[in-house]
Amino acid sequence: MNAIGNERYNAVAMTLHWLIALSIIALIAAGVWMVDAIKQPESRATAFQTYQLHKSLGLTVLVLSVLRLAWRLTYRAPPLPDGMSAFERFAAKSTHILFYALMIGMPLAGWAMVSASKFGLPTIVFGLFEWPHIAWIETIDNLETKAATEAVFKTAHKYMGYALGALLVLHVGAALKHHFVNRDGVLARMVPGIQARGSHNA
Amino acid sequence: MKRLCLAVAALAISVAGSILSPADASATTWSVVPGESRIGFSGSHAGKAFKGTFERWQADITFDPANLSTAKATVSVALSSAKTGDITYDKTLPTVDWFDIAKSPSGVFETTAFRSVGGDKYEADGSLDVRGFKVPVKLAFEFKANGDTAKLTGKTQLKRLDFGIGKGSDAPGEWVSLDIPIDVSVSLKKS
Repeated sequence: MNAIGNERYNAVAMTLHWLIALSIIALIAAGVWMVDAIKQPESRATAFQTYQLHKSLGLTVLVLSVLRLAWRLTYRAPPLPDGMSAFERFAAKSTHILFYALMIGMPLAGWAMVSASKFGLPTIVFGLFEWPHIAWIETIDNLETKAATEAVFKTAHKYMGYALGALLVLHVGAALKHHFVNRDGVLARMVPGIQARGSHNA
Repeated sequence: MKRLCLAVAALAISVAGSILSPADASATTWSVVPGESRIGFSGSHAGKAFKGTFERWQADITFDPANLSTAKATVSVALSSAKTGDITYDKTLPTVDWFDIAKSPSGVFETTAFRSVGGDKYEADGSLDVRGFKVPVKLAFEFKANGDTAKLTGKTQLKRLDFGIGKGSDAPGEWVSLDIPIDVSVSLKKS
């Protein structure tokens, strides 16, 4: 039992974490569904709208993640519990770094593939304002090169999605292990309103 | 002096002739009442129907049911004014693969012949020039005159690929229907 005291992430960090977390879950669910649904005549119109929403939400994650990274680089995160092994510390740290890489890299890849699409569909963020295409990709004149560029980013987006899903499972699994097995208060640092189990720190 | 008289007489005859010629005598020109007139288009995208209108266009119309040989209409439509109510569509339509408004800002319909097909119903043959593609188009319409005003309603169907519209994005019509029905409803008053 290695309670870590009552140091928690602050309100900014928690807000960003949970907004991004919910968005990512919605994005993965929408993404998995829509890539097949767009091929079926009966679900095609709904899938098209889902794509537009997916683009808006993905860009939201991009912006929030950049803000969060800026926060993370300027503020110190609460320390990890003392009892964690070197491997566990390494795993925790790597997971978090990978998360940031994917939270920023995956929407960038999505943005790039949208910019390379032959459809040239504009991205209207939540129907409110137009988000520009990436100019150097949009203006590729050679159609084959453009299609190949789209394919590269599409593949990257897809595998980053798989990686993000796997990372999510690891992350949630680790958080639950800390809470229910180690009872060290790690989960409570990021969840508003709950206390570390086994800890009497208020 | 005699020659001058002859010249004046000839001039007078030709002026009178042009004023009194049957073509001009029966030609009735109409102007469009903007608030009560629309040019609409429709189709489907991803299996869902859409409807739109062109908000800016102008028409020169000469039409007399009793003298169709003098009838003539020229309609110029600002392609940038296409509105569907869907911001994604409206932002896509002006782009290079669709209306390409930077290169061809307007579409022009010009009639070549009119015929009556019974009652208030008529057909106009003409050509529609969009994006540099000039295609024969037949407009079926109804023309109901009421004193100094008239109502014209008509429709035709266009094939977007005839004008190269959306050819790069969706030539097979997998996403956007290849057939684009056009409907017009125009209030006119004598001018």
